[in-house]
Amino acid sequence: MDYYCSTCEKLVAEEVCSTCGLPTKPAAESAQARRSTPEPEPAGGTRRESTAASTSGSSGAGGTASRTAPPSEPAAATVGRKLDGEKELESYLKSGYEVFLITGIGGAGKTELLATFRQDGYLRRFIKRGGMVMPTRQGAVDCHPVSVGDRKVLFADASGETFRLLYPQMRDTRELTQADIGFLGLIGKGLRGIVLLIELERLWGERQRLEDPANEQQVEILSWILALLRWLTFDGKYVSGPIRFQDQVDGSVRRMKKRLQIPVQILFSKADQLVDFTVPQRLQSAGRLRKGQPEERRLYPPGEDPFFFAYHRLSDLFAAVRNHADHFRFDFVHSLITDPGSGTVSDSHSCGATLAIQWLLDPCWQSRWPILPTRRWLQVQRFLDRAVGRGQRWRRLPDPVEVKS
Amino acid sequence: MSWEAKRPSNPLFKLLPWALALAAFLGTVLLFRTSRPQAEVIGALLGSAEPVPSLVTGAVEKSWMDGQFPEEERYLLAPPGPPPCPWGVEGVEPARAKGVQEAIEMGPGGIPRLRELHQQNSGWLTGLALGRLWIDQNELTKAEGLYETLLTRRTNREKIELAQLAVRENRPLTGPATPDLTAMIYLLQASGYVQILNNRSGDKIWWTLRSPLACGKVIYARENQSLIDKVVEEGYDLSLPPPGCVAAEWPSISSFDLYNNLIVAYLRTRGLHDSPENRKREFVRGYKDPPDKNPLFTILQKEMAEIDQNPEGESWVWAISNAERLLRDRLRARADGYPKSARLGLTVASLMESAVERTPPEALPALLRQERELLRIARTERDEVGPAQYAAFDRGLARLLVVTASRDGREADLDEQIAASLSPEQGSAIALVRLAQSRRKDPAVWAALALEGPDQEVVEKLGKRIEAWRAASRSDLAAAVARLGIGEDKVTQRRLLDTADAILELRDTVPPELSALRDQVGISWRIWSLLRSRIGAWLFAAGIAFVAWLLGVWLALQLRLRKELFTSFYRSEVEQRLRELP
Repeated sequence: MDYYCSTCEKLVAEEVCSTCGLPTKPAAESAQARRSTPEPEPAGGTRRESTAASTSGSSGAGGTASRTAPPSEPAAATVGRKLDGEKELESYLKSGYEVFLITGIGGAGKTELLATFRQDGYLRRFIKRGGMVMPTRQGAVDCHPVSVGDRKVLFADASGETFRLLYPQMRDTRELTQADIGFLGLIGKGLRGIVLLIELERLWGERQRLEDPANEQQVEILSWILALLRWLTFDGKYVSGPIRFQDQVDGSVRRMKKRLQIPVQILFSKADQLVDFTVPQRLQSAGRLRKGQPEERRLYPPGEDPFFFAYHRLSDLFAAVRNHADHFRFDFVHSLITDPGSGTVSDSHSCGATLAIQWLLDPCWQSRWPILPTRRWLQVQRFLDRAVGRGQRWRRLPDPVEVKS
Repeated sequence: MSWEAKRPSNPLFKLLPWALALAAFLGTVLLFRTSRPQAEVIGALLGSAEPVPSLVTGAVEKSWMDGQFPEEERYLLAPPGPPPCPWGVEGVEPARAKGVQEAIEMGPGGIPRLRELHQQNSGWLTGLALGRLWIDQNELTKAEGLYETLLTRRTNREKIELAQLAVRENRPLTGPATPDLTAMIYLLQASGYVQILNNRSGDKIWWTLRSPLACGKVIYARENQSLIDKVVEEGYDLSLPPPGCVAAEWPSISSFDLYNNLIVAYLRTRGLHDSPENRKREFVRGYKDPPDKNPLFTILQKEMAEIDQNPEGESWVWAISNAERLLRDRLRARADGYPKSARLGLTVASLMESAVERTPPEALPALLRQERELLRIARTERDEVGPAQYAAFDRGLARLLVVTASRDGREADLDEQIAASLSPEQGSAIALVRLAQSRRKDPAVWAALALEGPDQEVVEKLGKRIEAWRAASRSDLAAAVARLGIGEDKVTQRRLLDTADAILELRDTVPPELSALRDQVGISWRIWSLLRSRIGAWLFAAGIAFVAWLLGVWLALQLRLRKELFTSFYRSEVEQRLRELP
């Protein structure tokens, strides 16, 4: 049987494309889809085309070597219809599973992060190729049940493209409707925690920005997803009329006083690639470099304080998370390290993933103990830091500390 | 993976044991600060001139004797009266009278002769004499059959029913002649006696026991020269010599014996369930006496309301009802005083004793007063019981004397005669109670035993009973101290309340006197007292420990989350990973 890779636009012999490493579809099915689906228009003046070509050797999701985002599937093909796996998700919800959503744009490393999470249980076996897991199929949401003590935990891993297309500015065919966020509504019924994955290299890298506009809009996309989840949790009522859906959601969330009371973990993925990455000192807004600003600071993820890093360098993301959630934290993470030259996995150990997800699964979030919102602790900490002469770290990003071996 | 990452722990968790230790220390300090009052202080407060009433301790001491004094021995049945005097009975042929008299004088040997004479005309004269001899020979079944035959004879039945009609219609002058009624009373009393001993139940026994009372009323009215339309109250005092005998020469059956046997029959009966109409007719009264004047009336009202919840106790309520009518008519309606009858006194006193724990508090002092008075009369009138029943009477009396002495805080006064009637087991049980009573005579000594610990002799003799006795003693001492505060000024009341509260331990019964005093001093002082009491100290310490633990856990959780907010897990895992590398 022949297979068709929609990314490389060629026929291949296997279920996985040997060029881009992404799953393929049977050729007959793909041919029919190609005939019936109109070609997508370029978004924002940039041609939305397959960006399969890797820049410095291909890598698995969340891996070391920089890997470009997977190609964007036509909006009509993925949004507005049920995702593959929604029925499975529903059955898990009926069984009382606690759902943890992992979100980020395609290629940010969501699936790889899950695959490296060390936890006794029964995470679904991940298909690996060259030591790296296969990314989630487009238009699908994968369910990964885990046993955490006597708790029934489910990680929902949707394809990055699904999340990307929820952001109105990333859509080029039609307006966002309530039907488009059906799977988020479903997840929201049992949602107990969120992981937001951001790939900083693609956020700030000039080349990546040109390759796909979604790269530089990661903060906006994730902020919007948080807003949608907050709206679904505390409102969820859309009145059809002249006001667009996204405007109604935006207005409702602005008026909303309640915040998401579930833990939100923001992870900067592929941290191993960020060593010596130049940190823009000032940012125009979240994710965008102020032009002409000298690059004065180099990043050293193991020595950085992730909270202050987000506070100073990703202030829009920080503000969005603080506005939408009561409990949150930031951290770096990498799932594996590959050799830049050969692209093979040189170290399969992850760093940051285990503890970050343990924090997310902490029973205290489900307990009846009243927990102080993170923003309150920040106020207290800021006051204490001023009192003990450590207020400097709130004014400029602290220098990285040395990592002890 | 060969290594496991660990989230940073919070040092505050290590402080939790210290927080709990601090709370325990604080509780201990409070406990010592609120130490118990000294026994001398309580002794001085209560004084030694008056005995300290002790309901709870009395109940505990009573329970030590329960096993040695069976229920049946707590009451005394009046035996059948003496045999008739044949020569004095009108209409009896001299030869027959001579034969009966000779047979009676022969004792058990005269039974065949009496049977022979009885078969000739089956009259009550031979029946009474024969039945009495059979009872003396413990031939109860034969005696019961004989009496039943006599009572079902039409002539005898008519006499009884006419007497009942005369009473119902309040016309005592009508009805059969007094000698006939006397014979019927003797016949019915003897029949009732054997039916009780044979544990009979049903309507027949109640008819047998109630009917002689009606017959006696008619005679009583005639002897008191009442005219027609005279209502004869219950509790009338009538002494009847045997048929044909002269009153002064012969021991008699009294109306109190009839009442006694009726009440004893109710107390010995199990499973009596009468119709609601009959119950209403018996229990509902047309008057409303205060509890301090007629305690049995108060008990009756309470039990009547609860009779459906306790159907097994219905016969006991009937006994209470009959005793109430009798005593009320004696004490309130006619002011004749308590019935001068040893058996009835013992039976009603025993009935009252069984009612103590079910008596409303407002009626209890009057009930105990009446019980003491009945026992006094029973002891005074002991001679009327007769040698055959002295021992049984003394045993029942001894128990009640000891029980009432325990409750009054006195040492029981038992003479040698009474002590000699007791079995060795009964004597041992009473000796234990008297030992406890002797230690309670002086309130200071009693308080020392209750609060500080008993002496060696008490420990050895009371054994496992000691802790329950000490707990009861604390409750009674607290009640006695609380009683001193009733009617005093607020300052004195608060001082006494603190002392009384300090006497009690956590599981001790709180006496009603203490509750009443608490109500008088107000809720704010009660809360303050509770906080300063031993119980309060423990509660306070436990509360502090619990709150400290809750706060500690909560704070530790918050601080852990705060620390994790400013911690890089990525760095932690990198460092751990680097340590793992060769």
